[in-house]
Amino acid sequence: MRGFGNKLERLLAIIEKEWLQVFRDPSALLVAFALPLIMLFIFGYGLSLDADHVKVGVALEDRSPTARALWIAFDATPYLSPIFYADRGSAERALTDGEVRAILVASSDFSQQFESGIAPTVQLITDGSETNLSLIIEAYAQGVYARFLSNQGYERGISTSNLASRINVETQMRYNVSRLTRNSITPGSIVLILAMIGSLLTTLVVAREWERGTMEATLSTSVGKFEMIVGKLTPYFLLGLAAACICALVSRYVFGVPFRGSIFAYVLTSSIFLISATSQGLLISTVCRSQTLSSQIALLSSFLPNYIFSGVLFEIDAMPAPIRALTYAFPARYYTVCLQTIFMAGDVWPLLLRMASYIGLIALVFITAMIVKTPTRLE
Amino acid sequence: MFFESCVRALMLARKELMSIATNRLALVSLFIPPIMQLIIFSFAISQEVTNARIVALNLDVGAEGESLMKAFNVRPIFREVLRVGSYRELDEALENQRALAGIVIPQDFSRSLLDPKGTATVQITLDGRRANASGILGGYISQIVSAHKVEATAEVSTRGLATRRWFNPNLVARTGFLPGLACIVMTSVAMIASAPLISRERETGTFDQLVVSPFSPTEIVFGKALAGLFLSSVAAAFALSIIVFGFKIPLKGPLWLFIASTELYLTSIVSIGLFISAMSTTEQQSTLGMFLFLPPAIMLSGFATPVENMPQILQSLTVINTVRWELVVLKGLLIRGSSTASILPNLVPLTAIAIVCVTAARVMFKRRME
Repeated sequence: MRGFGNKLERLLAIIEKEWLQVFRDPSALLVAFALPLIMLFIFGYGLSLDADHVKVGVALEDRSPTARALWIAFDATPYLSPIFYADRGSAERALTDGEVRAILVASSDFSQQFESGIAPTVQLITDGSETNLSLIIEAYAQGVYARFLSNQGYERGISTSNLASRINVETQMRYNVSRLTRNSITPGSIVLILAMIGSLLTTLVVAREWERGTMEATLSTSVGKFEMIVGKLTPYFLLGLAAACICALVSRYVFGVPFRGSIFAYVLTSSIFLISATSQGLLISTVCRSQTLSSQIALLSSFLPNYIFSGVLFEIDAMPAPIRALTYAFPARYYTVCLQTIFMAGDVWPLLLRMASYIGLIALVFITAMIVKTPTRLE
Repeated sequence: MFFESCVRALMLARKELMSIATNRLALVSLFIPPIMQLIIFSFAISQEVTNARIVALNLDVGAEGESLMKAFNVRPIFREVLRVGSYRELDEALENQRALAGIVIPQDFSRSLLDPKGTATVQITLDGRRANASGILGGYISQIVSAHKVEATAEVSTRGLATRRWFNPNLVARTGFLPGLACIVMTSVAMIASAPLISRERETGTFDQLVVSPFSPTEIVFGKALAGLFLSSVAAAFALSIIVFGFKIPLKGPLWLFIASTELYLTSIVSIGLFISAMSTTEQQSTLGMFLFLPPAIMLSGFATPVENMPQILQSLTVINTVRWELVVLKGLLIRGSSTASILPNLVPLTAIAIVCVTAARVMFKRRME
């Protein structure tokens, strides 16, 4: 019983020491409170897959009323911003120079051919280097063109299949009736922010102690591994949790993302994720023992992998099998599912618990590695 | 006088490079992880929706329902069609993300289609948690469903909109994203190499030695910038060679412009890194600066989400985002073959930022000395 009391006392002492250190260096507080706010605002407004006002060059070599009606049809949609070009050549140059994302060409015999019904009458060329945008523009342009055709009195446009089909389709998007991609992307931004903050907060902690020589001082005391690790993690874990709460509030009240789950589920899954993120940072720091090196590795391992493997902007299902297998090793992937579910669907416990246990498993690996790598005495 | 200054700056750059070269681990971790990321992510990156899992509830007992179910055996769009027997199971599969979309074929499906004039209705439920992916998938499914029973007499109009894609006709995601990935790799290396250059000297206490040395502040800032530029140029050479020779993305623009614009870009990133470094008093602060700069700069560059999609205010803000301009330059030179005249304006903001940041770094450095 006495031994346990001593342990607890030592643990609290380390937590207190780290806590004091956090408050003496304002940069850690900046990381916990200012960084999530700045990033969430930037990502919340900046990351969007909903294209609008896409610049499309319209080369009208024909000046007939029909051609003008075509221009008006494209000008009317908010998704595309047409830019006028007098001939095909200048429009093509604009596309090559990246000034427009697509061009629409109506050649000089446009109205003649249009009246006689010879196909095809209008050409759309998209910039294939923007793969996603290309598809979106094609879909928009087809829609606008179909409307133009029907305005011109041609009932059946190009996508005849829809009109002629005998099967109607009723599509409903559950959890997100208005189909806002922002609702899916904002929880994903929180994942990225917490992953970076978690490892950033802890990554410099141990490395700094080695560089300054205070690690030797700590090691010469009777502190055990467990107390050392838990003591160092706790303050940063709590700061990360504060950041998580700020993120949830901003998402709910500034971006208007629904919060259908419970606060308990949010705090629980976030806590498990933060344990994994902070222990990842601490592990890097323990192994590297140099601030420069550990900050390098923390940046490289927390930003891009979480950005690409979280499944928010890039599709995990479309990745080749070996890389899909690799994504299972990144907790961000599971946490994204948790947050998207908690924000939009509610507490789906079977799903949340399964995801949380995967994150927990990864955290356990980090902590085990750390226990192995933390020396108890000086070599 | 000027010549001597240049020599001194070069000597300082040499000292920086030597001190980095002695730490083998730091050198390896500066180059290897970013290059590995480039290779791995070039295979991973895709915004297409393929290989999706869907769940289907076929309440129809007739032949039509089964024939529609068969129509979903389309690879590679669908990986698996999970069949369920009740609405409850369908909801459960969606809720637990075992499927991205659910299809319900109603009881009267065959009967409605038996009637030559009748129409049937199929319900599609999409998982709104992944709004973008499920929206695209919903489009595919409704196309398949609609095309399933097209009236044979339907008149197909010939007044079509002919679509073509230039530069990347099959819309291979890798081609579109590789210039951006290479850009991220060289940006990360330039930042990581330059951000600790001054703050580390402060932390280890060698800053004072540097101050009392015969170097002028300008020489010190330029010497350090040169070291950062050298290291990041090596990384850029690796990254760009990999995408040009390894992934066969052709260089369509002039080589001199390609090299000159890349160096100019790296200079701008290194000067931002030095500015961060000169502002920081500890390494922790310069690391924080790095984290504050890099992710937003990359995410707001048009790499994954086009700049046009951003609100106007944020778009104006990206004028100072060097990554955005470099991405336009790289894509223009590598994929589109843009004209030199259209590339040059993108270099103006890069130059301006480089000049402003180097000057600011020098001012901060001098202030810290006093």
